[in-house]
Amino acid sequence: MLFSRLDGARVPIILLASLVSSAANSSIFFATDIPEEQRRLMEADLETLTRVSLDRSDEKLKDLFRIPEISNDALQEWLESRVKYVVAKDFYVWDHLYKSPTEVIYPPIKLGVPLVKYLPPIPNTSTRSIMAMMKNVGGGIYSSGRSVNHAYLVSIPGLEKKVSVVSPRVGIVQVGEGLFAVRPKTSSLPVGSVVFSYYRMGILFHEARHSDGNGESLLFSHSSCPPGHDYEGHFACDFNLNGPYTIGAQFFKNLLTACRDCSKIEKSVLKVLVLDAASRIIRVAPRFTLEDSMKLTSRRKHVFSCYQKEELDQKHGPLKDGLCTEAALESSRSEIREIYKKGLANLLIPAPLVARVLDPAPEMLVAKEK
Amino acid sequence: MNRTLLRVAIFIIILGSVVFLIPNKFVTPVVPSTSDSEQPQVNISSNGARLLSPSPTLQESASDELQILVRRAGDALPRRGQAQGEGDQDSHHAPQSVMMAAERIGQLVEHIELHPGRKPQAVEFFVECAGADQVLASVRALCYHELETIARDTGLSLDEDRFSRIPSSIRELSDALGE
Repeated sequence: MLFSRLDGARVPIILLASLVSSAANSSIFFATDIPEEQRRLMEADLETLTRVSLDRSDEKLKDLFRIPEISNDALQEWLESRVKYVVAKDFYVWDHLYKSPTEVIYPPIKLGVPLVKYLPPIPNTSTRSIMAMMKNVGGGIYSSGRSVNHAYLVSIPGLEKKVSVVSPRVGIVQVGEGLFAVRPKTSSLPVGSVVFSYYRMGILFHEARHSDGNGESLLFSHSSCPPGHDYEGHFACDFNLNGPYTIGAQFFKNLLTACRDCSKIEKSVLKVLVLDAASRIIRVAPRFTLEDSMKLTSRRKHVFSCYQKEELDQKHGPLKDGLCTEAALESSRSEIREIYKKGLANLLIPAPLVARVLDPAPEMLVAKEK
Repeated sequence: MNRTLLRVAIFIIILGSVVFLIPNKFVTPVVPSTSDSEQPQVNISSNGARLLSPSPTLQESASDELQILVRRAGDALPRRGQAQGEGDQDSHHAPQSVMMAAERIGQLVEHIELHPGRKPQAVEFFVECAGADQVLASVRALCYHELETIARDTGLSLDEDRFSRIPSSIRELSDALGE
């Protein structure tokens, strides 16, 4: 309408049509409540993926993604089979869930390598809200359904039919504010620098891996980072060799190798993205004697209860006992570190656990026959 | 319309005459001065080739710039615990402090590529950074990686004593860029 009133209307109409079709190159559906600006940015990132230079000789990436060749199409296909819907940051999952009338059977739970937990998770305090980057909510919904043994349907704004959650591959990811604030305010790089687009894409590929797995590898859940790690206590590490952080590290590494137009500064940022992701891959995990294991449990409980107390203190005023003083907490933390170190010593029996490649094949529920 | 054009033309003519009348001393000479201090140094190498090196003034300014870049990179190094202190950020991905440190290190790398003679001074920074326990591992590994690159280019041996404080965990992490 707007263009038809202008002289030479054909040119803008053709331009508009090409823009629409390029956005339509991706099969990922964006919920209608995602702000226009955010949707456009993500669509531009996906568009970048279709033409970005890749290192086609990257055998590691090929093995990791289990794709026959490194190509833009193959990467896009890999991504789109794991990320199908993008929902807005305010999407509250429980308001959109419906119980499916179909009775279902989930595959039996296979017990494998337990999730490695070194420390209790550090809770989010009530005064600070985390600027999340992105979450794979689809995997979480599948896992919830599994725990109560029924299937869920999800309504996504803008989509007529409800989405049936029959596998972790349902592919629903939720964007967070952080995704749109990856460029530091004091950065010397332009807003349109490719590294920021690559960073957001890396995050998308990371989340895509959370759509994989079965049994022990279901959702490729993160482990808590070990004592002494930069992110000690955060569930921001992987104890496997093909999880989301390995995906991210290899993806960034490929782009780094292939980016011939990148400046030294952009390359430096890409390098640190590789290293940050690689630093979260934990290759060896401790195993503990029964005595140490019990001690560890008690110290962890102490730390955890104090974390909770800190949260309660903010609401109800400080507690007067000396249990949660910094000295008491540090004593428990250092004991945890010592037990951890001991558990890593190769001379002990049982020997430490070594990270391995997990099965990425997604599990799937089946409808119960009547 | 014609009157306006005429006025503009007269203005240009007057302006041109004024510029022409400005004494030469106010105009920077295009031809380099012949004084010794400002002339680029010409070194004669053993094989008789003429090697043109930047003038001392240029070298000094490069050195000043390097110092500024080193200081800025040093200030940007993210400390352990700081990452956790960036409480409003998602700890699942590289925090902004890590990105900023990488940018500053990139600026330093860019500088020493232009002024290879400054590499020894940059080595000092990269050793400090890679060996600093309180700095985040990803950034330390980046510093070690840059150190390795310089070592490769200049024949520097990383087995020297001064590099021993860089732990094997950081060296191994930097392998992620080379594997």
